[in-house]
Amino acid sequence: MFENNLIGLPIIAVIHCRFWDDECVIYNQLTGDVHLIDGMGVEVFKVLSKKAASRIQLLKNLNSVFEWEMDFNAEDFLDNLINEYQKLGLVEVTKNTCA
Amino acid sequence: MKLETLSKKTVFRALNSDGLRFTIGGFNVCLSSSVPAVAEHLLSLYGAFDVLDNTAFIDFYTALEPPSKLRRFFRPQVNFSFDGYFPFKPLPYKQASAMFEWGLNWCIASHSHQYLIIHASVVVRNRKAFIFPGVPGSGKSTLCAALVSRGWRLLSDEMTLLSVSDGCVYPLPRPISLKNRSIDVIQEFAPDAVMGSIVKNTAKGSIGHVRPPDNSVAQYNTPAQPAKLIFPKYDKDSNTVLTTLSKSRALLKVTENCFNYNILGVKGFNSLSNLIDVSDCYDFKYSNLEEAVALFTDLAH
Amino acid sequence: MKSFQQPILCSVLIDPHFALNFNLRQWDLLIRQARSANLLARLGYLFESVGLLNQLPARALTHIMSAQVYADRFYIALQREISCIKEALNSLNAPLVLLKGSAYFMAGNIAANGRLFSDVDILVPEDKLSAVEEALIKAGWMTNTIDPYDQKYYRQWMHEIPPLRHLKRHTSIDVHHNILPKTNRFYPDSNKLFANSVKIPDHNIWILAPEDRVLHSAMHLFHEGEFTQGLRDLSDLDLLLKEFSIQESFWKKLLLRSTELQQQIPLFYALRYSHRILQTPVPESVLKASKQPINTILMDALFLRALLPDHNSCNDKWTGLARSLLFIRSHYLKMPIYLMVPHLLRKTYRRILGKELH
Repeated sequence: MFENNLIGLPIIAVIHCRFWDDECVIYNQLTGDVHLIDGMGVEVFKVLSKKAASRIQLLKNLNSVFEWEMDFNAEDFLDNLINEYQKLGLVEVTKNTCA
Repeated sequence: MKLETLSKKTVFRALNSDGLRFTIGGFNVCLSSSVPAVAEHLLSLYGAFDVLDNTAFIDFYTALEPPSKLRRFFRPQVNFSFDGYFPFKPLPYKQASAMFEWGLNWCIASHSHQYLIIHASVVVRNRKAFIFPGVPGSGKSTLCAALVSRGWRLLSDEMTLLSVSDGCVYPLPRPISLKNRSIDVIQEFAPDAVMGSIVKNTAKGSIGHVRPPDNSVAQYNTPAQPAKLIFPKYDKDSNTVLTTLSKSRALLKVTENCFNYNILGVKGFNSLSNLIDVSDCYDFKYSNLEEAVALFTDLAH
Repeated sequence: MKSFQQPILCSVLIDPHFALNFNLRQWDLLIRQARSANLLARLGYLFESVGLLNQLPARALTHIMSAQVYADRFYIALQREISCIKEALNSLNAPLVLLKGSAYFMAGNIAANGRLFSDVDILVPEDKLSAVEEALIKAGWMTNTIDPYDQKYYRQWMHEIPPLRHLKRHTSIDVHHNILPKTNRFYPDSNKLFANSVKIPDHNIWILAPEDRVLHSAMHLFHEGEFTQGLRDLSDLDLLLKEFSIQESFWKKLLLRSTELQQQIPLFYALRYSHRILQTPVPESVLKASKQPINTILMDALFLRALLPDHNSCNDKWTGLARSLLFIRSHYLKMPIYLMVPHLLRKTYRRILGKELH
């Protein structure tokens, strides 16, 4: 995934997020589906529900909230999460060609 | 004027002609029926509700009649209609009073999208509404009947009406429906409770209805603020155990217990989320009604 | 047979202000008639459009708003459905023409307001029919029936594919290659329909031209055998005519087109009955020009009953007979007698068993 991809909530499907403690519930208005998100995903949606962020910004935010184990690959983990959310229609990724 | 102030003759006559008009909480109903058991059901269980004159706006025009003249005598049946539309297949004639309750449930669930309608009992103590969503086997109606017999206000047994506009729970204090063993349990727990005739051999077994307390009916215009959302599960070997449930999981669980959540779309999601915001959420396991009632009465303080 | 008596629903559809003098019993009758005619949500939009919504009695307003909640959810689902269909047929390089309710919705016609329906109807060229069916099945739709008689009815006799139902979304799609069955006596040339179709800006979707939209609605209603949606369909016609006739040339276009597509009779009925029942402002000259050699005394007796809401406040002792005769008529129009009689017998039998599909 490109370093500078922009990740945000989809424009067409309206996504609603509600946060309680360390979990969040996401509602997809187009499909009517409801998703329960916990762990790192909650922080991701806390950021995205305010506005779209680049991959770098998201990583930075996660680094400030979580303490990783030495060998934990946060970038890969985030990329996989975003991939999953994209498949579920919860986020949209736009390739950012600017440096 | 309360229904019970009318003579049996007047009630029969109204049901057999233009229809008996009465209120059941926030809804006005007109019922026509030539079935004597229906008249008896109304007189014994709906006595505290107000009768309406023929100038009132009626929300639901309903009827309970045999499907054909032939079916009055040969394997007699009865069918429920809503303004000429038949939502169900006919049932045995003896199940007429149960069919009336199911029919009314259908009318409300299908046409009242000003509410998010949860399949749950809801009772009030100290102005706090306790909502008990009910999957089969949860014992929500048994719990509801037990609490109500100990002085809790009945808001509704079958359908919790959560207003989409103000987030309050609106009353529908209709008779509480009990099945099979629960009928005996409540008759023992609350010997003073007024119960209508037991209808046997329905698809759900034996059904009996408990008359709602008069002062619950009298407060049919007073909504209540939700305070607790409790998912009960009756287990005959269980202790009385109340465990906190995370709000997110409670939200997911309650969405599976709604009649019209999908129809309301984002309004439904927001209503339920707001409910979760203001309510403490729990799972509840029990086998002993006295202990359950004591625990909730404590929780209400 | 008594002369036509206008239900209060029709009076209010003609002029919403008429309801302001109602007592509560009349209001509840209005709500009931509207509900039985599937016009409750549309009634709400009508009151809203003339600024009367806040003058309704509370209970009446509650019922209308409840119906509108349902309609609002329906439109979101419809939007999604249309994009899923577009995606499924993208690779086929065939024009995708939406019909009826979906078309009104995409075009932003007033007739889309409060209109609820169960199937999305699309029109594709006949030579693409198999490819379209295959593409839809690949994208998750399946045939609703495996009954060999129903399959034969659609494929061999009506030259259509049976309605398809989506496995996950449980939505239905009806794929047509023309707007009337091939066995119909006055079978229009579908190439003319495609040639005249209009593109929805910013979408790769087409709809019929305004005059064709009106004619299709008229053909559908006045060839139909079942009138449970009769007044709703007539109300569609009323709203479409009012919207399109703002353009001066519309009436002339409509009359010419009806001749071109051999649909003068449905147009005559459409103009006559929307004018009679809903007081659609059709110019006298147009009514005259659309006249056909038809026994209007008989057809009035049938249609002025069948097109009213199927509600005990609107039916009289002849309504059942009128509906039955029109039912038989619709089949006579659709298929030759040697097919019609056994088909109707089978339909009646299956209806009794509760298995009827079409």
